[in-house]
Amino acid sequence: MRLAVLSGKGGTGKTTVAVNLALCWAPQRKTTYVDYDVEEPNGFIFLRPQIRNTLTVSLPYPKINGVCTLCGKCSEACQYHALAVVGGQVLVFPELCHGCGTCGIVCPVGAVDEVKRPLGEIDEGERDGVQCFQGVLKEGESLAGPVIRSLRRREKEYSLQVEEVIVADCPPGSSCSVIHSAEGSDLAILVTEPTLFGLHDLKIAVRLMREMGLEFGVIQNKDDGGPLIREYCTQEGIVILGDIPFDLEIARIYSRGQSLMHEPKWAHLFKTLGDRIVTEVDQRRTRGGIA
Amino acid sequence: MKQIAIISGKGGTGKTTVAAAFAELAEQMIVADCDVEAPNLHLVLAHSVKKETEYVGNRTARIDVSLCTHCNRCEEVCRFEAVTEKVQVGEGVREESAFPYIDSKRCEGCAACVYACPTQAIQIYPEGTGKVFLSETNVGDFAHAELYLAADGSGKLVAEVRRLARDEARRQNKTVLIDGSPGIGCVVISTITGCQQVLVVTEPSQSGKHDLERVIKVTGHFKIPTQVIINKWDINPEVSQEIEDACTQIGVVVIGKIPFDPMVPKAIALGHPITRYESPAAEALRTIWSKISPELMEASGSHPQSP
Repeated sequence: MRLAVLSGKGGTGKTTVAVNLALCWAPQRKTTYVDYDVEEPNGFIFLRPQIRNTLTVSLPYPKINGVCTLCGKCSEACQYHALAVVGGQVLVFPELCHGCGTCGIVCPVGAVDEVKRPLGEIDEGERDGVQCFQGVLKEGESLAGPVIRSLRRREKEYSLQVEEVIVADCPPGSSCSVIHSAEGSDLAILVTEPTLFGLHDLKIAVRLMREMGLEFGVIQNKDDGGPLIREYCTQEGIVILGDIPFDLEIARIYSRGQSLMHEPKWAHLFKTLGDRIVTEVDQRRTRGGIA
Repeated sequence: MKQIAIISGKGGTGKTTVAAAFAELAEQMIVADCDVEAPNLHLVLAHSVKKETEYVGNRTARIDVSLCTHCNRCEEVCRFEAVTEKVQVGEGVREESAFPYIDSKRCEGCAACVYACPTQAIQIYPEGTGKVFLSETNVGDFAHAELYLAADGSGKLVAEVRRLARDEARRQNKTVLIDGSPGIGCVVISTITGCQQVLVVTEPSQSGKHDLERVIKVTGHFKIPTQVIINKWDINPEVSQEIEDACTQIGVVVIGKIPFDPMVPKAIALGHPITRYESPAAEALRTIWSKISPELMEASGSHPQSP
């Protein structure tokens, strides 16, 4: 079972939901938590795993060797303007390079070698039975995509067992980064909050899920008892999987970097939520099987 | 012309609340919402759209299957896992045969497949990235955008919104105020490059602090003067203090602190900037604005226009 936790709007509680669900399932099921918010990964602050392995994610970029004839085909073909023939040499701008290899394909004399530069890393560890993975983009680098793709490959290599729960903590927004971390999940959990901003961005996330054809449900965080999110979900026929109340105690536990599963009151809430999600996934699978 | 960007690292710390407040207090800036994936500023800034254009910034490869010889070179060279086999029907194609298929959500338009294809069956086509709007508000013009669903290229769309805002700012000799997005990657870099100042809005949590430290490394990397605002500081005064100490250590100024204030979501619900009301958060924002505005606004009207 793969679950993608996402939100559209930032700061609605994706990490709170993902981390505490992973902790609540871990005693019964083999559980893996993967933090795909590689620009600002926060899950490890709460999980504090013992890191056992760190992999470097690197991106290739061209290095021009001595056989270059300065024909300029590489710079013509490069869609990112990462190469330029100037003053009798080929200038390479690694920070513009997407590592696509097109320059090497078009070079008629084999003058393009590739070297690698580090873009980020993938950390792996374990905590309280939860297998933990996170991708971390290096500060100053712009391309999150390669880090997300590497992390996804690592997740696939690792999780070939069937009876496993994977919780993917996805980035905010509605871009390709969200798609690449969420696609192929059994259920997407959209975490929202009852503000106009929360609702507006929830609508974007819902449209994205429908476009992707992903099954999804909503968790309302910071629930103030108001009708804003409920009315929208009823109107759209969207399942609300559960509500987490607005509570300053939760805000304080969160602010200290602690998980809610250590407080009996909130552990109970997440157990209920966890059971509900498992039931929901099973039901939708059965329904999908019949249809 | 000066440009100031409000970013946060972590999402949901209150960027838009701060941006809307400053827009209203300044009354005469060009405002740009560069959070194109989840834009919210238009919800609290009463506006009417003056100009709407489509921005075509993306490029994706498409295969003419009638020319394809199944050599699979495209799949071999694609480093973005965008080429897969798919049963598809094309002109002059026998039904039910599998052809390479390019997933536009994965394609980055690099053209490697175009050059690798021996039969010129693949070409690059332009694709719409999103809609860009120039709107009128009573506190100045407002540039914003809507990224098309599942479209790539939010960084480019941000650059387009900024270009629109910059053109207006030059014409009207005004300062540009940018509401940014969470994160530190291409979208944020596209939001802050060329800005004279960055304000980072953070919150007193370990996550907020961690993300603040990362985003400050990014603004440092691009050598942009950076100041910090701690929002909802009294949710955890100890962590707030930790953040202030950490900032002092690296020589970054905490320019102000905003208290937790239940009036903030109420103002959002009413569709107004918080500064429309008398409340603790509004008061704190007025104080912060009075500190940063003299330098920021002096550019307007007193300096020759940039070329």
